[in-house]
Amino acid sequence: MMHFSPRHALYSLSLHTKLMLALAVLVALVAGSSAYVVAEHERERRLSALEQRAARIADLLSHSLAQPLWNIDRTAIDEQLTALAPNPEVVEYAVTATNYGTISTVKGPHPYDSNDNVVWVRPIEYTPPGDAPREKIGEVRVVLTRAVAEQSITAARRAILWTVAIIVAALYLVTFVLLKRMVSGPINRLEEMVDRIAGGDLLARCVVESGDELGRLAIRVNSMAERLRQSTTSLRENERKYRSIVENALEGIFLLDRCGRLTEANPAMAHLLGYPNPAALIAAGAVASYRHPFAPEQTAELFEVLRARGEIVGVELRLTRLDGVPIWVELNARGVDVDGDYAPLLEGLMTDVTARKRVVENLRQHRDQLEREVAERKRTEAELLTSRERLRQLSAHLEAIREEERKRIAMEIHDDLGQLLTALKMDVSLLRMHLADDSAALHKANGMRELVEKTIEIVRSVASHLRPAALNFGLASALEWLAQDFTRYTQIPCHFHLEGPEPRLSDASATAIFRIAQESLTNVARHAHATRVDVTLCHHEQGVELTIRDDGRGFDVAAARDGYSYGLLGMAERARLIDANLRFESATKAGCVIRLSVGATSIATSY
Amino acid sequence: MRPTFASSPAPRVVFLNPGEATERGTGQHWQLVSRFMRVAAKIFGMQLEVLYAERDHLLMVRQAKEVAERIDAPDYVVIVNEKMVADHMLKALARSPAKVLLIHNDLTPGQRREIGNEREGIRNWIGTVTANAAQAGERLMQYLYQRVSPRGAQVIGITGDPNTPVSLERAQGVETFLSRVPDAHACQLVFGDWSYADSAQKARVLLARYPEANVIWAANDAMALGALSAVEERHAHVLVGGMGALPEALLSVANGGLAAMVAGDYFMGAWAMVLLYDYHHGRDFAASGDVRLKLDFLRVVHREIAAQYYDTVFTHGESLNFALYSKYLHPDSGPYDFALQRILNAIPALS
Repeated sequence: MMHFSPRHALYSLSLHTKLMLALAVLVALVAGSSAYVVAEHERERRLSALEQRAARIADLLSHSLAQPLWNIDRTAIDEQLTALAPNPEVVEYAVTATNYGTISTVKGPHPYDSNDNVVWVRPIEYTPPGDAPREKIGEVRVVLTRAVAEQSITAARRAILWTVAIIVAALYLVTFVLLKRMVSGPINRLEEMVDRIAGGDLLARCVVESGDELGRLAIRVNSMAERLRQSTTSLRENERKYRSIVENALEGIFLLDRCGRLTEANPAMAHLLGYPNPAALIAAGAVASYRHPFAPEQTAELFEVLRARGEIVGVELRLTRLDGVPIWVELNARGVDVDGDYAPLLEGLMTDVTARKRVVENLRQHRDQLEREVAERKRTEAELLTSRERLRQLSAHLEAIREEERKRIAMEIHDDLGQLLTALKMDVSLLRMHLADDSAALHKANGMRELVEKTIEIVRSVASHLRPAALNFGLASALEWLAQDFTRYTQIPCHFHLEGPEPRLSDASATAIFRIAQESLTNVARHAHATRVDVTLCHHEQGVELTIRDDGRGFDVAAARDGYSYGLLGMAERARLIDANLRFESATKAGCVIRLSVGATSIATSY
Repeated sequence: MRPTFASSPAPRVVFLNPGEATERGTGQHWQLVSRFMRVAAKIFGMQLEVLYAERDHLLMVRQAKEVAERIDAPDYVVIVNEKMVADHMLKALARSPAKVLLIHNDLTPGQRREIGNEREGIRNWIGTVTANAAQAGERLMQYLYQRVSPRGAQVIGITGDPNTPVSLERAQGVETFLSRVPDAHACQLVFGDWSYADSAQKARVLLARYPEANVIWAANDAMALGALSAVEERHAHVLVGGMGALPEALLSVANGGLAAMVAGDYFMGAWAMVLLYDYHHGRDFAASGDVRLKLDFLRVVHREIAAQYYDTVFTHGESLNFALYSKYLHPDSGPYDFALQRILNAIPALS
């Protein structure tokens, strides 16, 4: 039994009928409501106009009746009221005098009906001549009926309704015909063409009949059919291309399901596992209850990794070829969703890495051996460093002992030997007093005295060179002495400059600086051929800086270092012991500057 | 004593009466004017022809033209400026050899500007005689004021239509008196159409509008009686007076209805006959005053004398001796004195 629900009936209607139905409903709604609004508006307007008319008449009469009522000219009053009475809306005009009552009443054409009247009452006021105040002398009452307005409103409403109905009918008719000609026909033809295209006739084309939406739709359908044709062709081409890539790939490409069944495999995959072709491989898998080529644990593990990471990258697996030889493969894979079921298939790429695996194993063995050797070497180096540090400590200790020894020897020579020689000199002088003038003995004694004095001089010199006494009075004094001594012995002018306050240094530091200066000047005297030397001790906030500058022939600093110059080595070692920085700045024929910088912290810690 | 006349032919006078030949609701005034003119004509031996216009001023102009075209023209034509048509009548009569005397209503200043004054542009217009209406109004109000003293007077006035000069003059006299007296006050003056009904209606409304009013005056008999009817309707203590003193009003005065009436207007025709008689006999009234005479002869008739006045004027009116006023018959040098006392000498206190 056929069953038609209204919804089904509506659904099965043609577009044309639906549009016409919608239009009819819409137009009826709009026209109906507009007509209603217009009619209501018209009604409001007419009633309001009636009210205004009544008010105007009342106002007019209240003014124009002032003089007649003041003079109580009943005739004039009657004339005025009668003149306005013939209007069909008029029910009554009445004039009353204050304290008196009605003076004049004029009935209009319309009978009195108290329910449907507009009543306006206005006072009649008279302004007497002179400055007397306005005086209310009566009232005018205007009664107009709404009935006439209501009648004309009803007529107007009917006219509006008829007009709207005719317009709607005409509109409907015109739209019906237009829609039929402009929409339904072209849509039917389009429908037919689309059916043909859907049926596979990709060369079918719609006829473009107009430039409107339907025409544009036809153009688009044509363009869609063309694109469909192109994309089908290109799809086929691509399929051929990708199939060739898969077939010719060097990597094994396969499709694996959760049960371990290979559903797809390429020739490379079959070759990798020792089969003549993919079909043989897939058949072998089926024969082995899908335990080959992947063991069930491997399959489970692969799907687990896929679930956890979303992809499988560089997983290495051990498989067994058809001939029983184990091989290592590297596997990259992604899940393939089928009908929304997450990753029921695994689409993978497989490479034989057995050879690479072997090479990596070899490399690992080499690396382990190298690591062992490096560890041995590091241990040895550490021992060497410890040894060098001890040697340096020893060297420093020896240097300290030597300096102490020098100091002691210098003191002994100066004090003991000096005193003895002085005593000897005095004795010789006493002896000379006992000798006759110009005797041989006197001459001898004089000779002795000269020898003694020379000896005293030599002793002093030796003592000074062992350790200048001036060093006991501070570094500045010692350096000043050194410059004078250098000048005296080498005849090269050497000037000492002190910049800033005199630094207070530990004995070890002062001695080291002094020895470096001494060694520098020795080098100048020996090699520089200088004509002037300047020794500058600069003391500032950052520390102490000693500069020895000569204008000699200079030297190649790098060459001098490479040539194991013990002088330079000694200087460097002394500098290192007091945490100072020693720099040589020189070039051939450009003099030489030696800078020794001792930081403020080094000075402080060295106390 | 009756005058005796020479053998010369009797002067012929035509009176163009604006009123009705028989009374038809507008009062007896114009009939009374004709009546006393006839009395005078008889006394002076003059021929009087009265043409009634029946209140139709166009008819009146036609009558003037007809008189002017008469081959046998009268010696004198007496006209009235009723409804302001006297200038047309004067122009029509200018062609006639008859002398024209204007009575009762003077020309308005506008009319005079157009046609000139007596004996100027229109040579045969020899004079104008009117009553001093202002004086009459003043006298009436004085009497009514005395009656309500010492309460003071709150006065409602009902005068005639504003286009008739006499209605304004009467009101002016009332105003003049009221402005002189400190405890008298004019509530309102309204203009009426001279009729009983209109006056009654106006009085009803005005009495409601001014409950304090105690005096009403009206500019003619009918209006006075109309106002009286309104007062009686309301049982108000209001004195009503008026001008005119026609029989009906006089009876009301006598019966204690109306308080007083100003009497004498209807003698104007008789005074005209006196002046024309003297003029015809070489005694030009211009020599005893002016070509324009405003005569002060109107007097107040109150209850005490009303009956007697009525009797003298209306019952025995044919015996009134107007010859007393003729300067031709009674030569004297002063101006004309038309004092009513002289012919009503039986009435003791005519104020």
